[in-house]
Amino acid sequence: MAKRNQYKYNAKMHKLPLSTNVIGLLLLSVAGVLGYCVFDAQCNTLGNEIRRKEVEKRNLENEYLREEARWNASKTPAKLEEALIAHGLVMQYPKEEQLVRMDRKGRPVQGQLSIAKFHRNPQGTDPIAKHK
Amino acid sequence: MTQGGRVDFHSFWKRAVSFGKSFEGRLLFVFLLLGLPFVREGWKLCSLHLGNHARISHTYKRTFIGMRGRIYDRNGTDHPMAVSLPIWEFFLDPQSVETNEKAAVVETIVTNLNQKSEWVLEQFQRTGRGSRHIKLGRSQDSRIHAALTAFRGIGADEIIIRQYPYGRRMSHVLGFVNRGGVGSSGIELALNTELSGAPGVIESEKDARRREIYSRRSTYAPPIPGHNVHLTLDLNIQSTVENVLKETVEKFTAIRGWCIVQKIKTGELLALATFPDFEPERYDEYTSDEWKNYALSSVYEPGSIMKSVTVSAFLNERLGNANTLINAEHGSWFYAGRPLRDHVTGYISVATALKKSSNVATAKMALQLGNGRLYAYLRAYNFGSKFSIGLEGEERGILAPPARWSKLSPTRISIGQGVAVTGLQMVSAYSALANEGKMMRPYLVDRIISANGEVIRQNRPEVIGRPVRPEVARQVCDMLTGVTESGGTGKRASVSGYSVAGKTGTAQKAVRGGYSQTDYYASFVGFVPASDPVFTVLVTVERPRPQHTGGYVSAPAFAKIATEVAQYLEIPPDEPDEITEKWEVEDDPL
Repeated sequence: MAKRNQYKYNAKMHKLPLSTNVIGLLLLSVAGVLGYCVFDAQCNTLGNEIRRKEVEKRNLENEYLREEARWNASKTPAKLEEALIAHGLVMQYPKEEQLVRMDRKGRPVQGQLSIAKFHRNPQGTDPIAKHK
Repeated sequence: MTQGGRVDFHSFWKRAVSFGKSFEGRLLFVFLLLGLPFVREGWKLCSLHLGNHARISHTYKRTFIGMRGRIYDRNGTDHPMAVSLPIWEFFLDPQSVETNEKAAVVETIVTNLNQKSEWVLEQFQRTGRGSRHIKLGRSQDSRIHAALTAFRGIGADEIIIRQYPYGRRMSHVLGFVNRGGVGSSGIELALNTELSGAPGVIESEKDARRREIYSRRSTYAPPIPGHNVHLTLDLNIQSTVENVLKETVEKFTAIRGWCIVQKIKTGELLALATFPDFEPERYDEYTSDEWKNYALSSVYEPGSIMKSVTVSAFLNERLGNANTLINAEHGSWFYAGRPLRDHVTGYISVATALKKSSNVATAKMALQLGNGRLYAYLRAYNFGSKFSIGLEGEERGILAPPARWSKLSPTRISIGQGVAVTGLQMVSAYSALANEGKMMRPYLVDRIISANGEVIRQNRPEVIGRPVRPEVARQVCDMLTGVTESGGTGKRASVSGYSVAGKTGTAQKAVRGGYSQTDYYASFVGFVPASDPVFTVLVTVERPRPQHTGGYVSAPAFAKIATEVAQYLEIPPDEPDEITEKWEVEDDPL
């Protein structure tokens, strides 16, 4: 009797106000809403990341253009002249006597090669041509 | 609850109250109380994400500038002559600067943007309109950007500017873009459509903080950069030409000068220069006259350099040959009641007439040709027409039809008076003579390439006419080599190691009512090497003083340019200099 009364009491105290179906439906809805919120938050995070990367890409592209412009500006003829002067270099086309003339078949004109060699080695350690 | 179909509210109410007082009832009440906000939030969430909010503006739109295309010279991408560059334009909001950072801000601005400290300090005292957005200067250095924007009160706007890394080089050909980014001169204008990029756009929605909601992005079109233009001009040759031109114009205190270098076999222009030049980045500091490309748009009477055309026509019509004798009279010849002066006298050959530039002999050749044929040959050489080279401002020159010629006209037109030409027409005519009579279309743009490497347009050499037969052209070329020899008018145009064929020209400047007695156009046009011509050079100087002849003013400039160009193009010399010193050669392996 006592057991039956205890059982009745427990059943009465622990009886759910709603049927399990309704509770299940509510729990499912809440889970769906929470899941939607979670995925939406993840999408937003990814979207922010994509936007951040897009901005970074544009910045890098612009930085590349600026670096390229800086490099081009450093090798203009005027800059090269400055660099040559700064290092004490003087560049010019060769003088007439430094040139070795070749004919159209690629052969040096008679005597020209010897003269060029002599000019490069005026001390005469290996003279090929002698000035008269 | 119902009695005979009617609802008994009294018993329903009693049962409800009883349920409410029970444990289950109280539990349900608490459950509903706690759950309702969740239901409300869930409903709101669904409404926000899935509902239609057309009446609230969440539109987000952002546009991106499509970079303008680049302009290169003929040497691939080594020499970008015009580029678009993103840089920062810094501004100051003095009221946002922290008081304890003011000194550091001033120093940073002075150091990095080359501003005077007095000026910067003045900006802090400014009030009224514009006092919260004061432009400080521009820089493309990211280190300067980092240094300046570290301070509150300094901001940076990213802008796109057009930069010309080589300054004044090719300024008349490149042109410039105006402050609105639209091409306004030169290639920038002529090919503005091709060079202009297309803007990119993002259309989306924004949140309460005005940030884009990426998942709501409906449109993303990336910006499309403009096409790149590759010119036929060579920067190194152009530099040589511009330097020599500047030196010549300044030496003879001339108004201006221009020079064209053309590749004979293809018609490509290797250099096209006018001096004085200008800086495209500061175009608004110059007058529109200084922007003008005189090599294309100056129309002037060419003088004696026209004689080669007359002689070629005379020979082509088989009216004579190089040795045909013509009476150059005695220093002056009256025709149609007007004297024609000449420094050559007696009977001279056609070859000598060209070498010594005889006015009378050439005029007589023109009379033998007749108006109709002379006009036809001038038109065959494209005088009086444009080449449509693609640059704005190209002129067609002035060549009246024979119906409007006077009796005197052929004697004057044949020696380069009474007809007005452009430098481009003159250089093309001589290139035709050097090219065995074939006239090539001159062109400046080699190809246009899209940003992804696709060839949009490719120009190729094109023969546009054959004014004279090949053997006639060769004959005239042989005669023209005499101009730079002893006795010729263009000795100063000789180039060491190379044979030169060319012609001097000294023409009085046309003024209202006649010709100036003090102002001349001094010209020299020629090609190198004469034995197998590769390039033609025309140099014209307007109003040189005190010397004014083509042989004295322009011929030396031609020689300097031709020497450097021949060496640069690695053309084998066809006239190696004689060895003047005595050498005893031993064991020469060759």
